[in-house]
Amino acid sequence: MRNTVFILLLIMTLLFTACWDALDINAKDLTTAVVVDKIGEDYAFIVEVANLAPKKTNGEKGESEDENYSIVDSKGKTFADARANLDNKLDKPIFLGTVRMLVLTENMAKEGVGEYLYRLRNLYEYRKALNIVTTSSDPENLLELQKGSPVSAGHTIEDILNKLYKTGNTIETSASDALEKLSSEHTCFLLPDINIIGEAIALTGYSVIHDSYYIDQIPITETKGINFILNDKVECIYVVPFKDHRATVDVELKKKKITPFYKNKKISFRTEFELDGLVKYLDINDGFDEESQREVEKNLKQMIEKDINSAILKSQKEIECDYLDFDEVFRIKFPNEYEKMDWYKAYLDSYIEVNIELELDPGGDYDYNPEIKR
Amino acid sequence: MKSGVTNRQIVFILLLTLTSYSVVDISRAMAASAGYGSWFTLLITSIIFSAVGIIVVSLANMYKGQMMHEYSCKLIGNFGGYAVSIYYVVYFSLIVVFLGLQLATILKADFFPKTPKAAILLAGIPVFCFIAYKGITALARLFEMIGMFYIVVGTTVHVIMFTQGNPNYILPLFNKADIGNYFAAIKDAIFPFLGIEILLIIPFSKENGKKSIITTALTVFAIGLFYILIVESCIMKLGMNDIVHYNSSIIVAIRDMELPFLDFMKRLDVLFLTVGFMGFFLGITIVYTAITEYLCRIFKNAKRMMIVIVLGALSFAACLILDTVEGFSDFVTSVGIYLGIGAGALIPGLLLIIAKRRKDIA
Amino acid sequence: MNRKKYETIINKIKSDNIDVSCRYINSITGQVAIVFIKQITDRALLSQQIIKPLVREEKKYNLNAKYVMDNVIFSGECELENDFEKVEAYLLEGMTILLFSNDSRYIVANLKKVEQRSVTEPDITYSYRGPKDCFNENLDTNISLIRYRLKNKNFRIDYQEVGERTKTRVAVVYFEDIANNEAVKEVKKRIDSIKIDGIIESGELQAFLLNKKYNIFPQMGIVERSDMACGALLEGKVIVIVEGSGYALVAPKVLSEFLWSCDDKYANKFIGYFARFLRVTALMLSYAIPSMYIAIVSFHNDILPSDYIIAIAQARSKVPFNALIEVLIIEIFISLLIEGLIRVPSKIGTAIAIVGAIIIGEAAIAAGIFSPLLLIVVSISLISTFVPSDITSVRPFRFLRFGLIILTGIFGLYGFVLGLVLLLSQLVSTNSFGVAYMTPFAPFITKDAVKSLFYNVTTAPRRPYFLKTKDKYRGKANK
Repeated sequence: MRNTVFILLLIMTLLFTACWDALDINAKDLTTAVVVDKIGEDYAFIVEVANLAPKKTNGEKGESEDENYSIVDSKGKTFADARANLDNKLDKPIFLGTVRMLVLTENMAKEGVGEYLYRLRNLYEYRKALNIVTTSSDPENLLELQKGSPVSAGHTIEDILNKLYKTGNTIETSASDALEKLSSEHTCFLLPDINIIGEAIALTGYSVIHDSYYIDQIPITETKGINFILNDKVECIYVVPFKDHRATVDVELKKKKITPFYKNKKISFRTEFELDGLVKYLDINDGFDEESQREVEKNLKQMIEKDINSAILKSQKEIECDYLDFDEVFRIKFPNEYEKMDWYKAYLDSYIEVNIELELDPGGDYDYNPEIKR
Repeated sequence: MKSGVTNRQIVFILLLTLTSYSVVDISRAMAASAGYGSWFTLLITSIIFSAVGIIVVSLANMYKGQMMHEYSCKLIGNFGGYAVSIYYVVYFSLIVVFLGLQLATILKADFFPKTPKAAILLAGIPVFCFIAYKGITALARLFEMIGMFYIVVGTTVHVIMFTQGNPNYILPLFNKADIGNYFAAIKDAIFPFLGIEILLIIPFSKENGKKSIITTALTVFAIGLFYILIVESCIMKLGMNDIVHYNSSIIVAIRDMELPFLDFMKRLDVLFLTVGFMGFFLGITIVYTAITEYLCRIFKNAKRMMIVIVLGALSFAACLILDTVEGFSDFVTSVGIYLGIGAGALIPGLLLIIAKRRKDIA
Repeated sequence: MNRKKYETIINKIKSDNIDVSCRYINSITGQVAIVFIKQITDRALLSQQIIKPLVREEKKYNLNAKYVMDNVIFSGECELENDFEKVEAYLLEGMTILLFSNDSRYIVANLKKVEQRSVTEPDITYSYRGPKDCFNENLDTNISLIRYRLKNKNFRIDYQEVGERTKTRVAVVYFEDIANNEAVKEVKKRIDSIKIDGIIESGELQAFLLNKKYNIFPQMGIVERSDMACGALLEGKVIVIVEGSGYALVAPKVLSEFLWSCDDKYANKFIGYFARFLRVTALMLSYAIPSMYIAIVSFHNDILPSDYIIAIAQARSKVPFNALIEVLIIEIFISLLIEGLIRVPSKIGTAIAIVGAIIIGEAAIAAGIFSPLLLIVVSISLISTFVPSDITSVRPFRFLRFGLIILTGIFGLYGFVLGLVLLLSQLVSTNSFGVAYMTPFAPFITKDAVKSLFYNVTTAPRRPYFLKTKDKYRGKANK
């Protein structure tokens, strides 16, 4: 009997003093996007927080609209100070498990992305599958574009990236990818760049990060070649001239192979791309004969080769940084040699050969050169 | 109720006991020591420990219906037998405190930062002791039930992780120039394979037979393959260079996974954590059971309930005190290897030789 | 026997105040006293079969016990006795005693009649396809319902008596050539060892037959329908029928068997497989789902994707309680509702159910006291409780759920797993008359485990291995 009473007392003590970590989800500030900025000497956090009971505000046209998300910002001399100031402003403890997107401004990226990412690594709540992007737009304007919308800015950016990634028209760099790159010997990688175009959020290119610092920007018009090299699956559109007309062709990357060679201390790569092209439509109704088809195929091949070559050239000669992951390919085949060399320099002198194999389908279900017998 | 442990139950006991010791950070340890050849190191180590398993089970099979204390007393006299039992008690006590602290540390670091370690231990230790009190037969059935879920969930999750990860992170699989490193890394791969000596508390029966020897050997080898799957999949997810920074690399890797096509179940944490915790708890519980069995034989007149309560109280106190001692975990992992080799290979090996000699003479 | 002794016996019976009635018939050779307890005797039969024929014989000279039994009375069940110590016991059993002033023997005739319910439809084990004749409180009726289905000479009924005052008849029923001897012996031994004043219902008997006093899980099943009883007997089980109870007990019974239903056998086998799978899922849901809600809402919020977390948080934004208190309040409320509805008169029951639904469903959500998601979770848990066919198996889980809720509320997923492991450890260490409770899953018996989920009479010629029956096959053709 005494033992039972003792055990019950123990249980009641545990019960009434326990639940140390219990905090309901509605008692937390659910953050959907985090922007990290450097303003002068200060670090700044701008966070997008979900309103659990959406506030009614006056919209631009005077109608009342629901403010589903609020923007809160804070500054500080260090990340810790900025975070402390943010906690001072928020009415509930911040919850980072719902963050969809981490945005680093260009200023912050120029200061170095490493420190914040190392901080992220140690914050248990942050999920390492979180995507990272950079921006040169004003971060508050970026987040406020979604004001009044039921979808947050973080969701929107993530959805844009996911949609484009499915067709291979962008790269995605998660926090764990970035941390792996920062921990390896050769730290050069790309981050998608998101900006405000008109009144919408759009992907505007890639930011190049070298040794954890932002060094350059690649505009969206020059990213096709990079996508072919970095992604395993790419679907994009080319408008190919032939005779005096244009053909719009759907190009799909089927297979890609990059083979490294190392002979007489010279590094070279042979890249092979197998692509399928499908002529979607022409600017003429018919008359797409075999000669035209051959011309389109030849021109298309040249265009793709030009894109890939210019991406390689930019990486080797302009930006002088291997963000195309050739180091990985070389390391896998020649690990001992890779360990001994300075890849930064060795890459710049390496020769990269591009081979394209293209199979063009002239029309698919549509016959652009019908044979009329009547 | 018929008591006894079947061969199938032995498989699950080995699986959950071995994996509970170090599955949380095996990926980090292997990435740091063996690098890209982790699979090779683990393969070699699993073959070595399959042989250890054969030794242990061969010895147990020679004395059916008895556990280690009983046949060691027969083989090397009462004094020797008691000395061996006390050795095992000390070894298992060290392991139980280490595991308890590891449990409290991981939970506090990753899940319950505000909960005191004392509360975590106070909740867990009575449960472990309660199950230890029930005896080896009930515990073996528990292993059998939970082990099946553990294998299915663990394998599925890691195979998915494997398909989601970046294969470049684990390539090249083998580099001839690093072969020395791979063999040197075996030292770091020993700790994950410690635990086979747990089988010495199980009284084998006629039903176990010679098949139990083959079963044990194949099980240890299969556990090695399971470790390879875990290590390679975690490295594929986190990267060879970054994974060395995480003490609980497997938890970080699981949290890094998202499966969009599963919609609301796209984060697999809850499934993996539930099954993982259960496996971990059972791994600790069987060590408590081992200590209880030895103590019951050493102190024949003491009641089992009393032994279990005292054991629970002492382990709780030891966990709290040793938590303040710096470097205790490192001490256990370094010294524990040698103690474990002694407990799992040397002592059973010597006893097996003596037993076979006696059998030949007889 | 002499007249004086005869009168002494009758006076003693009357003075013991056991509410007897006496009818005297005088004959030339002496007197016959017909002694009975009128409340439990069929007086119409008594008049027709005993009094009337005796009166006709009053002028005979050899009116003794043997002659009367062989030639006079029409009663089908009667015997001669000579131990007068047993007279009161027979009277209390409902027997009619014929005492002869000129004979040292007496006749015991069974003209027992107790008012009883007719054979009705089942209350707790309803079947949409199976037979609907179920047991009532009369032991003989219950045995007849089994007997007419099982026309085999190896069918055995062993009677025992339990209770010093009630002397309740208990019938242990089994197939001699199928049932495991050990199980049969164990059941009889445990019944024999019961030392108590009285047993009124089979539930009380069941409490005495448990392995350990403090085990919450039922180790014997209850059987309400005769087809279920016959099915169990054909499997090699032992049925215990208690006089005065409409529920028989079946042993041994393992946890997975509590999730079976006879409908699985009668309906299409694929539907049977699906139904079994549903019941297993229901058992797990009824135990675990409220605790998982607490673990996700209060501790491990990021287990769900962001959209769901935000949606749940918005739904809970007005709720003043934390998840643990919310779940406890609603669980207690629902338990009160269920308990009340069991006993409430049927005319008021509907009204109370509606009030309960309105309070919980409409008013509580409108007032923001509970979140809608919680109500869905608790409803799923509640409905899942009633999916398994044997309700006695699920009630312990309903009760233990509170412990799991509290553990999860304190320690999150860690507490949840601790509770789960505790439950499983208790289940694996329980046994039912020598059979491990978690068989065929722990210890794992492959064929039985597969059959326990995918059973159909056409695909399972062998009886479950874990029952260790004498006859392992269902039918000679299957051997």
